[in-house]
Amino acid sequence: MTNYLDIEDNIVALATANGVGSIDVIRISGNNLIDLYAKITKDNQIPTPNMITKKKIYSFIDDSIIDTCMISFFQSPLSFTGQDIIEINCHGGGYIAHRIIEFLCSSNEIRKALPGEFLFRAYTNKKVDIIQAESINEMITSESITHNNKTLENIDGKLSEEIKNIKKKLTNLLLVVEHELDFDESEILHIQDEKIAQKIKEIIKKIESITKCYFFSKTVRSGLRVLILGKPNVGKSSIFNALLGINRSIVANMPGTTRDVIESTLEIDGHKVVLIDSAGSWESVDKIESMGIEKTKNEIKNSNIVILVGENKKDITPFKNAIKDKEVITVYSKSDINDYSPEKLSISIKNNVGLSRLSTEISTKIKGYYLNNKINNEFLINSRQRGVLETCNKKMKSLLNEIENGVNRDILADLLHDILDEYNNVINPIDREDVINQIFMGFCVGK
Amino acid sequence: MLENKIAIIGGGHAGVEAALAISRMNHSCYLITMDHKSIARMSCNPAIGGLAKGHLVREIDALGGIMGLAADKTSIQFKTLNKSKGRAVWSPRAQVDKIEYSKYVRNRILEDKNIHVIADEAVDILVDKSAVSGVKLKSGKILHVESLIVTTGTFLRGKIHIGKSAYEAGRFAEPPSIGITESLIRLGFETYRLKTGTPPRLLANSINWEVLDLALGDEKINYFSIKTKSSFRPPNIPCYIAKTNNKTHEILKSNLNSSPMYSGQINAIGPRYCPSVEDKVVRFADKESHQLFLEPEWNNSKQIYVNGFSTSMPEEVQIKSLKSIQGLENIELIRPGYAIEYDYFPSRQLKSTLETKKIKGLFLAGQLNGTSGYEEAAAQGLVAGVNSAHYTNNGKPMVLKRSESYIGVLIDDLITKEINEPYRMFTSRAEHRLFLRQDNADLRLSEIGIKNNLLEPNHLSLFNQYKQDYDELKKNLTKQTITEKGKKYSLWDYLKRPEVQINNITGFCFSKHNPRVLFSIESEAKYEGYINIQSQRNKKIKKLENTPIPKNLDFSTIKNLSLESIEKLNLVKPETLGQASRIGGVRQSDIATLSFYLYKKK
Repeated sequence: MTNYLDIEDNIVALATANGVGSIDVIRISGNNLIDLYAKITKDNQIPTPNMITKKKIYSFIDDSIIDTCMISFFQSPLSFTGQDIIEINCHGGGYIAHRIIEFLCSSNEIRKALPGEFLFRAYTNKKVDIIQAESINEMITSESITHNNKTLENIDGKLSEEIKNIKKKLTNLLLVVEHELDFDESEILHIQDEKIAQKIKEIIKKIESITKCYFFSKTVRSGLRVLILGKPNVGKSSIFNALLGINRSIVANMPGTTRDVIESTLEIDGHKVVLIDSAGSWESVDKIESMGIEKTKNEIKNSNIVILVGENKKDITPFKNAIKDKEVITVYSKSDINDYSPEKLSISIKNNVGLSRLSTEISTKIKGYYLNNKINNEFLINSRQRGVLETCNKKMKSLLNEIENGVNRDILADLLHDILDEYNNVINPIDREDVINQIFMGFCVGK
Repeated sequence: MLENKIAIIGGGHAGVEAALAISRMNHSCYLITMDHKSIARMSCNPAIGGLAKGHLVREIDALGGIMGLAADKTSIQFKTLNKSKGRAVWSPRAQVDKIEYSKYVRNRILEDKNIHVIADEAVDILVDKSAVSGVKLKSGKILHVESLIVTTGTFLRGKIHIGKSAYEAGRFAEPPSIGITESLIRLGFETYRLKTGTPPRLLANSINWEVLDLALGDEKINYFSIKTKSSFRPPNIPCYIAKTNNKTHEILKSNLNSSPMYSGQINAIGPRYCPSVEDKVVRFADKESHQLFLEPEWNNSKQIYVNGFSTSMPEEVQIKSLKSIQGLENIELIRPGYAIEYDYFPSRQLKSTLETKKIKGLFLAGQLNGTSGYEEAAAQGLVAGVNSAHYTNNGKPMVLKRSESYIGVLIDDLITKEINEPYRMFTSRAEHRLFLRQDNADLRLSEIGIKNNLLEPNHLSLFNQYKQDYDELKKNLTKQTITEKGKKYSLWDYLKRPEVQINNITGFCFSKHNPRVLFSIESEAKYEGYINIQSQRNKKIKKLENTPIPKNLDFSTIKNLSLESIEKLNLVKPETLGQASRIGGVRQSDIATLSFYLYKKK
């Protein structure tokens, strides 16, 4: 049974996607790959690290040449996984890469990598922390420029940095408290309860400013939800289809099985957008108040932008209340048969009137959304990270209560340890001894 | 007469606790010391206990040791430190009469029929098939024993520094012991150097006491020993406080190049938490004044200990800087402060019984294991004594857990952690701090003491009374109820409120109970909830703690461990997965690998 913990094994995997392309990249990681390099290239010279070289690749099975490749060698510890890495850029198409991997694995010296195993090694070798590992993993699934950029920020350490900053504040507070317990024989407290409470409040605020990014993060991941809403037969589906026609579709039309809606995922101006046609969902406006009410409310609640469609004012008005908190684009449809008014956004799919104006409106709203969320200040966080951080904040709030009730310093210190232990789960666990060592480094010491 | 199967080298605080523990277990032993008079000598400050150390003394007492009782008997004042910071960190400290203290312990040792004091110097350890077979003395005599406890403190290749002059010595004016270090090295033990210091001693009548602040002890005494009567009152002799000033600091700073620490003459690493005064003025340059406690070394002592002024500066610099302090303008030195460099043996070479991993029957305890302080030494001595007796008798060793005692924390830290300065106990070292209080030391440990035959008859009956009193009271508190604003609470739950004290619950009187029981039970009720949170958190650790690692496991045979971890693990040879996880430099992922391996082995 292979296991992630078998970190002495040499592992190999195709690093590029399966499919037809001009090159494929094979990655091998292991503790010592110099011999392997010599064996597959028939070149006994020790490879220069970080250099890409043109080499023939020989199979160990029958000594045959499989391909002429560009091959590079990264030497431990200066590599992605912290181990030796060989990367082979072979000709694409999949077949050649497949043959290379097969002969490599026939030797018992190498096995196929498990999912994420390169990343796991990078983590165990402290090349990345957990947040970075999560982000690398996430980046390869990203479907928009925004998502891509935000994961890249985290790989570069943007979130880790902030998490560490907050941790430093928490540790410093604990150090002050511990120092008074262990070193100061006078009964004078140098840090008052109010000051501790204030510091905790500051930390809570800092953490909240991260956890509240969760909603933004969710939008970045699953896309901005643009809902087309309106009475039946006002032309919602035509607009839906027309918008699909002019934008890059990420996922083809998918009839919702549970929600009776049709969704399609698009990329607009580099952002991931989910366009939702509420067709079939609401039989009549009157019924909003009865049967479909929950479903309606939910769709509206989850949407970021609503395109409200109606032939005239009468069609529009009944929805006004339900969407009053939303970003709304009101569209008057079928301008070919209804009144056309340049002041309003009148549209005729049939005559191709107003569609580009609608597109522009949607773009403006999307940009507005990301602007309002100050894209550069927002962190991309996942639900695991949010969960840990929220638990910390809950614990800190109960600690504030304890302080209010005059809790003793020994207990206070312990509750802080508890919070710090929890907090460490976000990024990396530490030994309690670290805290002690830091106490000695940072403080004035009496007898 | 019992056959002497055990010998102890050294009659310091570790040596005497070891000897007395062996005697209480009804075994007998030799105690080898160069001089009777040096038995239980207090070589540094005239105090027992203090922050976290007070906890150790209470634990030693709960296991039948002598330190607590001797400190009570010979104390001149008592003070509980940290009283405003919560009961888990309350730390009793006694200012004692140094002469009386060592006399008290010495007499106890000399009158003990199971302890045979030999005035000689041990020069060689005799070993047969990796097991102790005897010890050779300077006189040429050989003692044939099965077990040997080495407690030679800072005497091993001791080197004293005062200013630029350095000479070989044990403690001041005592010869160093040299043979045992060589003997241990020859047996394959690693040794490194550490440094510690001591402040100057002043002549009492050269001090202008009038201008100094008074530091008196507590009125209500929290004495150490369960054996001490509650009516006990020490004489409460005052100490005095003097304060350094800018001028003092200037003098010290301008003479740094004559301090052996700064001129590089001493290569060993000194204690960060008991730093020399020249260290303090450099490191805490923005602090305008440091407090010095002037402590009499014994009752009516002419010799005054300057607590807080540990130094290895030349004598004339010591005098000059002291004279710049108010009240010390005309002082005369009885002897200068000095620094001492000595050998220690990294404790990763020991098991949690304090027996060495290499040589069966050989135990190391006290300052030579890299600790500082009388209390840390005594605690180790006791554990080594008990386990050496068990060794000669094939008994089950006594290993105290981190979750039940500071002694357990101390030994576990020593054997798993790299030490690069003398190790001193702190409350923050204990994950179970809220439970490991000084007030429940008897409840935590005396039953272990009984199991190991460590309590003398009078101690046993005192403990049984105490325990009975405690259990009865606790039962009553959980049964009896109090009604407040129409709601009923058990007294136990009612006690959890911060403002409620057991002695002022309206309608109830508990004065027939032992005041120490009352205090302990009150703490128990108040801390229960928080201790639960703590133990919840420590559950994960416990699982690791309970996973044993086979004794002779060669870690390099386990696939997938990182080379760095293999090296550390093979060096330390941890006994449990918990220990392995605390070794500095062993990766968390390797602990996972190791636990995976042990699991597969099952």
